[in-house]
Amino acid sequence: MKFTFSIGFLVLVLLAQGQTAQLSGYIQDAASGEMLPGATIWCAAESVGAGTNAFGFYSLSLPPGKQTLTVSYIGYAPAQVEVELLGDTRLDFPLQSGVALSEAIVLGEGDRIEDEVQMSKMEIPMDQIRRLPAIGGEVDLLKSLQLMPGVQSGGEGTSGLYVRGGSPDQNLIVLDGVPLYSVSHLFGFFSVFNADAVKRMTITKGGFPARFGGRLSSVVEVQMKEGNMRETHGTVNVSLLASKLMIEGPIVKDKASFMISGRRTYLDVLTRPIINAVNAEDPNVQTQPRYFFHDLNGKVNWRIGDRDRVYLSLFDGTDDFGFESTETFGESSSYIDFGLDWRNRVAALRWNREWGPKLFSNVTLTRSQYEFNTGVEFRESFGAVGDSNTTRLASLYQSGIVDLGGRIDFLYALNNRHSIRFGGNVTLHTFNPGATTFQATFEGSLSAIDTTLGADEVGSDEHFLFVEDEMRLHPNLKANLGLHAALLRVNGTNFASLQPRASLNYRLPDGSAVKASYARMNQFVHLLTNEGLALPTDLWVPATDRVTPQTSQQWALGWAKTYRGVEYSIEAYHKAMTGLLSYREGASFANTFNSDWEDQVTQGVGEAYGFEFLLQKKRGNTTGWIGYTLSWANRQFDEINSGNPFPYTYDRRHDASVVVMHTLSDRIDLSATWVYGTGRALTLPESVFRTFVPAAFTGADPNLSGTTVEVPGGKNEYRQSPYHRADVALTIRKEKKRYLRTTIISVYNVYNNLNPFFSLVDVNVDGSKVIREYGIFPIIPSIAWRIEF
Amino acid sequence: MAHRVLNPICSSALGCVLLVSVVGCEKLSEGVVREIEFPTHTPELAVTFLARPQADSLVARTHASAGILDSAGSQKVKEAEYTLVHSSGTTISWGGQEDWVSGLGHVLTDVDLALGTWSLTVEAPGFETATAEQTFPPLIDSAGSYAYTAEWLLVDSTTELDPYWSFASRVYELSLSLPDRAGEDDFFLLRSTRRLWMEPVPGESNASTWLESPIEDDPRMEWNRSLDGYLIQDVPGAQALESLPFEVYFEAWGEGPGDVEEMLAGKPGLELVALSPEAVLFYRRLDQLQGGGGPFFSEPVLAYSNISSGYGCFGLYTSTVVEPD
Repeated sequence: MKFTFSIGFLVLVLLAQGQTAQLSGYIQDAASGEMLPGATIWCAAESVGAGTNAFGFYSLSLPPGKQTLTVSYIGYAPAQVEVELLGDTRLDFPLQSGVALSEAIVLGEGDRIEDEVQMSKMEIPMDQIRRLPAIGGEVDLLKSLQLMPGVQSGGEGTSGLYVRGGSPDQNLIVLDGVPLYSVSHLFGFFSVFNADAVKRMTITKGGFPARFGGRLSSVVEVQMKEGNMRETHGTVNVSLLASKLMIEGPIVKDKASFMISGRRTYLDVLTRPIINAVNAEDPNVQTQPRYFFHDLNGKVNWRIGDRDRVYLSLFDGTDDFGFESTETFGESSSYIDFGLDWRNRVAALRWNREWGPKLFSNVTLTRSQYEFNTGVEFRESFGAVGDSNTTRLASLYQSGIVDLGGRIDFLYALNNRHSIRFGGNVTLHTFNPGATTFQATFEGSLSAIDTTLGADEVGSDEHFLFVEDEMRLHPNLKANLGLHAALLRVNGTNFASLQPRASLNYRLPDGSAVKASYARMNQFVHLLTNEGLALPTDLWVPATDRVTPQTSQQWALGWAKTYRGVEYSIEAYHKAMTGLLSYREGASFANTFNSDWEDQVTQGVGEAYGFEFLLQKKRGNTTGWIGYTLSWANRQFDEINSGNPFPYTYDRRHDASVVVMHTLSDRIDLSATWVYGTGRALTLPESVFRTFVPAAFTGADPNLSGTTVEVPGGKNEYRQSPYHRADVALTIRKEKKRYLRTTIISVYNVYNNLNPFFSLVDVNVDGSKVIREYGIFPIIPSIAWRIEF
Repeated sequence: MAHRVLNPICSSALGCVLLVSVVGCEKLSEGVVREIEFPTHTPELAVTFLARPQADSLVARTHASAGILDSAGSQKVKEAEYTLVHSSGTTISWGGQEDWVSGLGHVLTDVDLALGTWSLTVEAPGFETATAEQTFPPLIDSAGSYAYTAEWLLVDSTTELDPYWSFASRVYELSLSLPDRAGEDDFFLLRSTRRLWMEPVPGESNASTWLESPIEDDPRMEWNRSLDGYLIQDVPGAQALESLPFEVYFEAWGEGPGDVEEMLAGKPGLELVALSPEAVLFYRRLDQLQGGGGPFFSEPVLAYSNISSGYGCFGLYTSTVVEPD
């Protein structure tokens, strides 16, 4: 009986499936052949649609027969296509790029904010990012994200992201599927992403689908360009800080392509004549400071047949800071060389396969390495007639992390009601939480020293499996339900977690949508950092038997609607975090030079909640957005602030941004941004007192030695001045015979507001004390040129 | 059209930018003074009184705390009156202008405090009364129920006697075992009695002693800059305070051999102090407050005090001198 019923059910399913034809393929740029992730295909007659995945692949079930489809993507002219479906059909759609699209274009459904199940996800098109004002003309991807609600900057000029009360280590920043551990150059003032090499960037702040894991607060996905499949093109950028070159083109036309991009700063080159002039004044004292950063991006994309593609992505970013100094006194000399460098190296090999019209897979093998080194070498040579004596002292501090990973993802488009993703991941971590090598050589009888102190390497392996189903439960109700199961094994200790995820989208009669989401997240790595300043010295450390993983639970509720081409969205969220890591009071990275980092830390909990408002206009001559966030973020550690809760350093009650980009003519664009944020929370000394130590604890000496003690108030009880700044940029394009030249004139901090970078209690000449705030960036005009060929 | 509009705008804007840049650079170097609303600071008594039994004199020092922006700072309170009450009822009072000794503080002479628990009350006109209570640790000595043992081993000896300039050094290995009471926290301070900074007269005969711990990151001890010595505490584990290793360096120098020989006879003196726990907490926190890597690099530290309604420290200790035989 049961058997008969099962057969009957199976036949019904097959019959039901037999009434549909599966349309699948890729949506791509018509000119370059690049795949377009996040594009949508919509069938109005059937009220069904699908979006492309990260590789531009879509799959949609439709009734056989003639169908009219709308294919659209931000920054591209939508296409209306009629297709005759007789059975399963494979069809690629090319879209024409258009920088400024008419406001009159009616968006296809599925392309609007209210259509997406996923909430708390934002994207700024790359062509808009390139038109935003930038310090020194150097366009920065992460700084452009800071202009969105719920995403805050760490301080003046820095590129760190603080998402919904989370810390920068809680952001999963992936470049072509590979997590990056350090994403900053120049002590955090620039991100490592070269805008010329990037095709797309999105940020997800909550409601994380089950395929994401490993971080609590956000997922930033950056995809490098794949390379033009048809023609060789390139761009050259010259700004006051750096120059960039990007070349892309076919290796085999419509089969294989490449993209290579490089960037280097030249502050060291520009300052060399000044330094040489100073050195020439006193030949006995020679000093050579240095600072530069460079990054290299490369990608090869190879289409093997109709169904397989292989991508190889490479990235190398290096910062090098230091100085050398030599002083000579007759026959004697002293030499000092100080260096501080950090480096990211990433490689990813990916294989896409389209197993059929419904099943798509991606296999990724990755290697990610971050290393930080700082060292000093000192040599002294005393010379006398017939005699000399040389001493050498050197120390080198090294820390870093190496990840080897493998991941497989499947997308199974079961039907128009269910789109299922599932897969798994294995990552082998090797942490080096800091080791110092001392070397000393002396002339004479003293023996040489060569020793290494510090924490040992820690190895761990992290695994996860996930399954998620994006489903249409009712014509007005869509959901994405999933489960992420993760396991970390470190030093004989296992940490396992089950993380349910859910997102709902309910369409209201007026066309707007109410959205809700829940996500439980787990993070097995911590960034050991002082809250005062993000430095490359920050240590990535694993969860251990003494340090538990971080977890969070985030709820969000929102409303979204597109009205007359403007997207409106409101979201409320609440995030509870556990296992947060902090240095103990008085500890810093300097303590980890000589002692175990686990002795320097303490763990606590955090809470963040708030409201985010966004009005965004993506099309037309005038585009931009207005964002506002009202938020609270608090922390509580038993061993900090006497166990009392305190505001997180980046607790920011109000955070607002206004971004406007206007096309004046075919040749001229004008853009302006204005940002405002409540001042950063800080701890200040409130009072002073004198205290003493006996000169002797034995004997008869009654003397005391005194010292003045500054008594801090409660942790983060005070606020710096509010942060606000306006930037403007003028982009002028000139079409030449063989290339397009663009001049970008920008002014950072137009009204020269000295935003505080740090605050100190200072003593005036008259002895009176004041709180003095120091900024680092006044008004900065700059000019940059871009040539596209 | 757009160009015709932009040209005059660009010129004016460039002028404005240059002008604002000049002003901006000045602001950058000078910083911006900002009024921060600090809560009104009510001055409180900041008392420092560390006492031991059998002392010729004990000195208490009281200052008034001050708000951070008060340029006068923390002023001494000569009117402070002190009352010590033992759990047995014994009461000792001193202080006020008459007991104030310039350069020292309020001096209590010819006193032999009994072991046990003492409560301290400090009163001064215009201030809230400050109180604290402390219990003496047992008497630390080389014999008795709270005894230490010290084993000295001379490992290096150098003597260069010269009519013009003489120098001698001795290096000892010291193995120190300290008493560890069951169920009680025991805290000690070990430091030199001949610290170099105490008599910094260049060119004159002098001697100094300093000590080092050969074990890196020994959880039982930590260097305290404020007290200029090692703070030692018992940690979980049997016999945790046995055989604590130290290296003791003793140097003497002077113009003639006689001076140096005389100083070598003086031995490398160390003071061993048994401290009440609150005094240790106070000086540990004081070190953290005074130290660290500056405002950017260290997590802020909150002050600790065992003085109610005030600041500072009331600590009781017993002490002895540790020397090679």
